[in-house]
Amino acid sequence: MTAISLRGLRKRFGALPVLDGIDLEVPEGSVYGLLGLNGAGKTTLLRLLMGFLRPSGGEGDILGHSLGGLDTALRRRIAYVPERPAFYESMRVGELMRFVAALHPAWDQTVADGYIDAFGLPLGRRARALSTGMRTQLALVLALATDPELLVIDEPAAGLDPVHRRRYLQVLLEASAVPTRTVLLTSQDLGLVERACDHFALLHERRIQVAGPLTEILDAERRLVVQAPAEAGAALGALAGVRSVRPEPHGFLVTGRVDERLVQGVPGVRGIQAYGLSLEEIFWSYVEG
Amino acid sequence: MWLRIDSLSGVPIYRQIAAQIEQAVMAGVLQSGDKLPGVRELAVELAVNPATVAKAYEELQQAGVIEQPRGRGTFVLGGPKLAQDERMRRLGEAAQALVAEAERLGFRPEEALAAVRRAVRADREPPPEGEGGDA
Repeated sequence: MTAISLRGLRKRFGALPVLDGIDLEVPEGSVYGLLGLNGAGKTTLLRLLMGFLRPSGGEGDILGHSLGGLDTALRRRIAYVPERPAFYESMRVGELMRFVAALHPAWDQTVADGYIDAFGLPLGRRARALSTGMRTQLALVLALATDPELLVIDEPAAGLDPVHRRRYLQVLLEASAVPTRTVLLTSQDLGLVERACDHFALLHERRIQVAGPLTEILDAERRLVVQAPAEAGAALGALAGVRSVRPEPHGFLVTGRVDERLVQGVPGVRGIQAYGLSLEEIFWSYVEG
Repeated sequence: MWLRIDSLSGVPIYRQIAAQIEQAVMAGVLQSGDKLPGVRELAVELAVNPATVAKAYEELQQAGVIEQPRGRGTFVLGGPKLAQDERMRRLGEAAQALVAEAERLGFRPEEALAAVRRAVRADREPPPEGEGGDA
């Protein structure tokens, strides 16, 4: 089952293209991390999904309904947590909970109380007096207590110190354990995505550069130190999965999802040393080439 | 468990988990028949996605370090026997690396062997008085 499916989705603001042909499949039950640099269009993509913006082209489905068709019933199955959550600032935490509960038939007070406790949030404090970290935590609690099928979080754990970040991650992972619940989050924090997510996509230069199960991608990506004469460069670059070929003193540095046996078969290749790539190296290899 | 995730190491988390469990088996900290925590339990403890733990266990199972009989949990396999095989494999790898390095430096295999013998002798001889007392 697919929770979100996007096909050739485009968005431009005036003459400025922001997203240019986004294809994305988010499996039901996954914790999906959308990675990208500042300004890559991650938030725009989320806002398109939530129906806050209209696409300039392409199409997509969200929980089986086409984009833009988010009626109240569907909207209630989705919880969206923006990077800077907005509350009624004069309300106390307890009042905010009752306010959201009244709007959501699926509100689960036991869940809410559990996570309020887990984070140690002060029920009697007014929203405007909460720290940035507390606001981040409260927004997650309010979202989770509505028992969403799809939880969309823009830059989770923003503003949290390491201790609260860990607790936030544990709560998020615990909440993701519901098999029918899908979590889509955006982040520029590679460590968070590697910890929290089972799938990720990298958004760069208006398109998805790589997407899929995290461990599968980590398994497949390689950097090879290839000993070969300069003439072999073109043949190496033409191999399936090769993204970059950089000349080195006695050969080349080849990066990509490369089958070593194919490299072995290139005329002139004398030796290969293979290394795995970390998520950070994969990120940079796509962003910087 | 005593597993530690180093977010700055550049090593994928599932490889960190697999390597630490494997080392514990080698060192005898984990022994044949010991039960490991379930995927979800370990994932919550380490604050990582369960798929990451599942992948680590999958690699360990393929390497013959653990077994996961359906529905009964995850257990350390082998023990001394496995450790012996694995120790032999690693010794072989180290030896190959040494031979390759000797070759690269322009030495013949006999000269590499002689260097190993010298290293073994040096290791067995007690250090001279007043030195090497930091062990």
